Amino acid sequence: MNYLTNAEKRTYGAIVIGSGMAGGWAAKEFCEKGIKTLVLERGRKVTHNEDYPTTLMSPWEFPHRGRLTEEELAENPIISKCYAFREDAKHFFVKDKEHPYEQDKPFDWIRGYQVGGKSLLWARQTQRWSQLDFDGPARDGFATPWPITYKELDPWYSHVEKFAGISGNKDGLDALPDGEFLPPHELTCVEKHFQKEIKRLYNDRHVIIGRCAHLTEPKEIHYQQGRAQCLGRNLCQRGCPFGGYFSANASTLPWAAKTGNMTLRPDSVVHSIIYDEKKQKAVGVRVVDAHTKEMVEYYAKVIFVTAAALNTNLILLNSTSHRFPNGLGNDSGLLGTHIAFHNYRASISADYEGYLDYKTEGGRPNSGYIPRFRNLYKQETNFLRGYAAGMNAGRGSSTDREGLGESLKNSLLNPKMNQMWYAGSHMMGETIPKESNKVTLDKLKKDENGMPILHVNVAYDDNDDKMVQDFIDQFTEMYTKAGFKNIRHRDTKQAPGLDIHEMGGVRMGADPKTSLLNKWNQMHHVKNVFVTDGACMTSTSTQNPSLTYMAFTARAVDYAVKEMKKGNL
Amino acid sequence: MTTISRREWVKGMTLATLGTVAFYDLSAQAKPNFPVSKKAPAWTAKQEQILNEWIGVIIPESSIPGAVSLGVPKFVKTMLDDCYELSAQETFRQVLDAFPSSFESYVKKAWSQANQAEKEEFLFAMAKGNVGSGAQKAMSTLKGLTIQGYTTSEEIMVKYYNYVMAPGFFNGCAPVKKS
Repeated sequence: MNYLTNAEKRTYGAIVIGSGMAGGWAAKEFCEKGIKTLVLERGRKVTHNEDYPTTLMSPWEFPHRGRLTEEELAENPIISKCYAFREDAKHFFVKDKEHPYEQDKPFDWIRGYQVGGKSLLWARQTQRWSQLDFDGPARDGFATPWPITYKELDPWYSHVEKFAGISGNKDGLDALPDGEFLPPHELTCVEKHFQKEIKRLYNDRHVIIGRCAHLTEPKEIHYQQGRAQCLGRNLCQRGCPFGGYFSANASTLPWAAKTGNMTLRPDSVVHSIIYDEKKQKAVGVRVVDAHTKEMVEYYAKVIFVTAAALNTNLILLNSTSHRFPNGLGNDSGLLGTHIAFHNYRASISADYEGYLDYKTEGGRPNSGYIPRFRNLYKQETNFLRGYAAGMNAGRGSSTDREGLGESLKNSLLNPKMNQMWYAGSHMMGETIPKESNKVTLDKLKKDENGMPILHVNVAYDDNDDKMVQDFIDQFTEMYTKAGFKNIRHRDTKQAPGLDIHEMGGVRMGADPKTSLLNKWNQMHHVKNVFVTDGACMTSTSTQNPSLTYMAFTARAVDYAVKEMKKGNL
Repeated sequence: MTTISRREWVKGMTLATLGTVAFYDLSAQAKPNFPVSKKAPAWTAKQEQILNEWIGVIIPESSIPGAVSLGVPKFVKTMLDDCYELSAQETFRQVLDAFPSSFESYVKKAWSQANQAEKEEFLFAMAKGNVGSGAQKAMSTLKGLTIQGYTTSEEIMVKYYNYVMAPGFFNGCAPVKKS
């Protein structure tokens, strides 16, 4: 009797694995619809504002002024490559020794294990996909066709945008549908100059202000979340005391908690999903307590796997049973394959000697954006697909650091406005999913939680190299024509992963032979398991992906709850 | 020395720009845990004294506070201890220990007897490599750290660079004020 009571206590309507970008949305949507929901987070508890220890620290309060120590660098060769892993935000990243993995090929796996996951740390750019993006795999004959259209996702983009708070300008572009926007940020004078020149010189290229998850003018729904206007601090990675940008911590999770339907369980590493052969569905999950290493089972009618792309793959691959010896729902044998990412290798920068009577003032947590223009309507280059790009122009000041004594001091106290503007862009390229780009489980080695070590075997290909060259060529031309001088470009050749946009492995598709999930993000072969994080992505296009995960998640929960009510799950 | 209480700052920002936003009790925040290097040897009183004087020549005191009164030596020691390879730390300490005698043999006078111009001249000689490559590296490191510590001090950032943590606005095309 005791055992039964105990098991009943561990039974919920829904289980959500992961509390980040997608998991937070699953939690909110389930709880709002009255479903008792267990949210499992492998990392520690991070509560909005209470656990942002550096958020109000001034530069002079950091002992190393942001820099990492030699010891930290030596211990963390992987994570220290990430731009935001610095003294002020390092506590939100997984250190190299904390969750080891095998790089069959170089891959920088950047992770945030805590309540809120990487939603605390993301770059907050939020662009919708267009039908042109969903058409990609079918038109160009790679991956498998997407089973969903833009029209089907459109209302769900609107749904998440209104709640999260997305600022942007209605630009009316085919490549980048407009959304439910809060007022846009302003382009700088040199960005506007570039915008005007590109419009004059090209029919197919547009420079717009980025669309981002910042409250430029909060609405009632945002005040209800306890959030307020973004103050342009540009210290987002520390956690925002005002909730000025969207994070699960500031937004979806407290909203879910307020319903009384959410149980949030941090320090809970999901080992696997329990499949019941008689019921022919999943019945729960096995969880390893991160501290005691004890295994506990939790049960639910429906399970959402939103553990972040590669960890979602890891959990599903580790969920083996007599029915699914190669991983849950993996009859096709494709689970863990077709991993793709965004190619961020190339960047360009230059100087502009106009507008010298002007400068920028204040803070803007955003930049200009150039939507994809290559191969948009038809194949026209020697590589597939294309790239979007950031575009940022600003004017700094500097001090003369020659000299010593009073003359040096005087120079330092009197910074001079630079006699030129700086302009820069970086590429965000689509990569083509391939079966050979995959993750697998080590057959012998396990980590401290008893989870198999993940092997990551993901690499660039010839298409990516050609795209890098095209970005450099096209932007050199665009910058030159816009009158920019001293143009420099570089290819960092950074490893895949550092883009922090890894996707795929559990892709969507209409055909169970070539995909794992249907158009509702539901496993073809395990109807009560849904995957709505980056793992579900059939192709990557060029947009920053989080907004699409949010929309997929809200849509999938809506479907799952309707199916539950019909008794189908 | 300008001091801004965090609590007052947030209160000010909240009242000034946010209207109805909830006010959070920041005393509930746990203090961040910064690592302390275990490798670096302790600084002797003699080393600290030389370091202070050396830094004091790079950015001296006047009616405007210099590097020493703004706490730069403590920052420099922290950075050297934690953010430099052991070999670089050792080289720096060697140059530091030899500093008085190097000075004396170059300027032909004790540090305590020399004026600012003579001291600067010696530091320029170090920077040019005229006192050896170790001294050149040490001078370059120390000058860089002294400038960094000074220009990121509260006094300089707030009073001279108009630092504000939360500007609350953006102007992408602001006229440059002619001085």
